[in-house]
Amino acid sequence: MSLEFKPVLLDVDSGDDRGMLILHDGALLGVATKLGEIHGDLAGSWFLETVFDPAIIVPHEPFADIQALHLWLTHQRESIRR
Amino acid sequence: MIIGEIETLQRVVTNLERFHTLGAADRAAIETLRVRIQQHSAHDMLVREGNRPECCSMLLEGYVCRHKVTADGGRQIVSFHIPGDLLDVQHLELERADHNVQAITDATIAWISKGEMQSLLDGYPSVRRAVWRSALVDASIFREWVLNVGRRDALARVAHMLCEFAARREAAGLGSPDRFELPMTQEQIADATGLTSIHVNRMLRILGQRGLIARDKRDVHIVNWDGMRRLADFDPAYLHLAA
Repeated sequence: MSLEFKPVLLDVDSGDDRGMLILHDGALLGVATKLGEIHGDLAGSWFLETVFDPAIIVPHEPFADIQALHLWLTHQRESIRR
Repeated sequence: MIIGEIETLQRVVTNLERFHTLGAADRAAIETLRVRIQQHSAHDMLVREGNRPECCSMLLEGYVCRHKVTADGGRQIVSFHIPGDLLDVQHLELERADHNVQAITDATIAWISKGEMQSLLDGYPSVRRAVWRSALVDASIFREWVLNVGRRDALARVAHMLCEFAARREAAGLGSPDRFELPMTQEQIADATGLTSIHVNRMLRILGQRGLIARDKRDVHIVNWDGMRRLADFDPAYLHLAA
């Protein structure tokens, strides 16, 4: 599954304003944010805010990097379609 | 019972007296209960769902939560408990535990046999009434939590939880509602409010930015109570504190 990642700025006042749109075949599949300094040790990791696929349960823990998020999301979608 | 425990059971008396007036004989009956005092560490499970508890428990020191877990491991905390609370009087009547009870800090628990507890309730109608009212207020708090998790936004949920914790601490004589140390982690607040710990951290930051609270790690100062009440939609009537 090929995913496309597009950086966006988020209109939030929590400090986590660096977002990433996640697109599949040009359609929006999810949105992730890069965690800022307020999150201490988790700063710099990527948190999946939402996924527009009701079969996927969004994890509570962030991903170390975008590659890890990409792998997880790909695996989830493949598992669902098996 | 060892010397010194009368003082600790006094906390249970103080708690029950908020629900119904107790006489000298009622108070003495509680303070001389045959209980087993046990120290527990944070995260210890006190009651597990599915167990058939032989004892009832009272929280003397520390903090405890009740929670339920989905088949895939998702945890929902359904209540927090503070010193003086009765944790599971329901097991007098309901044999199987339908939820877990777990310490969130180191905690001192007074365990009392179901027979001893039943004798107390049978012999002292005022105590029975206080326990009954206490259980009804627990149910009222559960209803408020359903509203909180089901219908309030993330910021209001966290603010409401803080307001309730502060109000209950004050009512139990545990200190000022303006400044307190939060015993629960952000993950536990998340599990109580249906959020993630990431969201809880963000909401606490926003409450601080708006000048409603000030925070230093787990030390919380509610700077603007009126603002917090409004934002959280917090009306303490459901706590029945004046009962």
